Amino acid sequence: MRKINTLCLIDDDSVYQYLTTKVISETKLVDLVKVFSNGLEAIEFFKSIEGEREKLPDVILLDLTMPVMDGWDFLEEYVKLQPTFKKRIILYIVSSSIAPSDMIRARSISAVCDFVVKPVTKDKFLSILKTIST
Amino acid sequence: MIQERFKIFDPLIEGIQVIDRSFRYHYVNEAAAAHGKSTAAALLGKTMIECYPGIEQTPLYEKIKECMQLRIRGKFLNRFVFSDGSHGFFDLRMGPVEEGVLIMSFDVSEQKNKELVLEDKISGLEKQLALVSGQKKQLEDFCHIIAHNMRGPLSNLLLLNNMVQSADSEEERMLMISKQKPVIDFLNETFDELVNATTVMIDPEIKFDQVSLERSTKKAITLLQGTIMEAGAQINFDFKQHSDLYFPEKYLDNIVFNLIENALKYRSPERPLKLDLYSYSKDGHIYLDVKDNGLGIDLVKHASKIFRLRKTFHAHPHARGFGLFQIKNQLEAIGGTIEVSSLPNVGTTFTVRLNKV
Repeated sequence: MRKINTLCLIDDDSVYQYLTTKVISETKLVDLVKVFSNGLEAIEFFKSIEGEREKLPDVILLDLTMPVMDGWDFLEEYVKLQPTFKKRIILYIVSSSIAPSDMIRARSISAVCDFVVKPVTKDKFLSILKTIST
Repeated sequence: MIQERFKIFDPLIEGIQVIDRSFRYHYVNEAAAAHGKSTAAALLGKTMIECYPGIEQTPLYEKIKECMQLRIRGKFLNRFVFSDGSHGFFDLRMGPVEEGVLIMSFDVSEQKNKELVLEDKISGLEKQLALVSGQKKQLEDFCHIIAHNMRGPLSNLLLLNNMVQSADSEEERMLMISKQKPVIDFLNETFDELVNATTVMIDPEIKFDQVSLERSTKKAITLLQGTIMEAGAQINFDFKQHSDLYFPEKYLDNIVFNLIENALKYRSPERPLKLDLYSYSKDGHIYLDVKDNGLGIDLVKHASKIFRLRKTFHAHPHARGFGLFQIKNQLEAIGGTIEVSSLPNVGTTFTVRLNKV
């Protein structure tokens, strides 16, 4: 399985942050996990490293319900920045939402690879990584 | 003298009358007289005011005067109230003639009354539709709460449980178990809030009390005294127009408390908080405005989310996203509303429609 340099976790839930970071590090397939507590923090980071391609993540796991800037608003900004990245970033929405309307909306956005329903167990994460490598 | 030339109208079922220049009945056929619950003989030669005292105050009289003086034609739908209190609707067409004004009238009471019944039914249906739409919206909000707010902590618990089972050591197992406690507490809290909100909505007998905006505001200020002093906030209220209301006391207390607490929470670090509360009446309702000079909210982005559960817009450690959600539920349960206008970095005004004047 291909190794991942950087993975971005965008989620305000501190328990989820802790658990998912733990699940990810146990797979030993990711070098660095960067955590942001809302969309705005992540967008500010992307803007601050403009032009430094190597600092961009390979994978983003994005939550939907967050304060300040939620997942949808993040995607709006992200899509605008995307052309400047010059790098293919794989973005998953990872939400506890089981509302079909959220899934339909997520799949209508081309920057979104897929919609993953929480919890992200080790098995689920491994299958995500498998999809990425193939 | 009845002029021969109008005789031709005698047998018509449409009413025909000619009013002369001194507003006397010059000619009236029996159909026209019957529209006014009178007879031709009783009207002829008399002035309109003699026959129907008070008619000079009506728009109909104005219309006839206009035709008479300007020599123009006109249409008028007249709701005529008879001396016995009953009323009829008459479609009038009038035009100038040599003698004065000729008026042709049709009794449209039957159609008009049916229309009124229909209008009544439609407005009743519209009210019901508004109620059902409101309930549908609330149901959607609940689905949202369950899909997002309840499933969030639940998925954490599922994952923690998964980790407890697959833990390598006893130490790790204990760590994972200890992490369950705050998640369970959070889930419990959300659950209580949901139950609280549901109870508000289905509570058929909300107790209305004689309450006072001033008292509720003073109560809230006392409870928040510590924060108010720490913030150096200046809170003014003016309830001269309306202070006494008939409103559920716990709701009013909660609404005022939450709006003041919100203003304190989201005050600007750049200027001391100035908060104004005032009441006024508009369109038959009593309103309360709560206006601050705080952080403000970008409503272009967040308008649809502001009253939702656990929606917060500022990176504030105590932002919970429950207050506004609860206020909205309480207000809607008793037919009130809450609206917001805001500008980032300028301030926010919440406008609460309480009850009828």
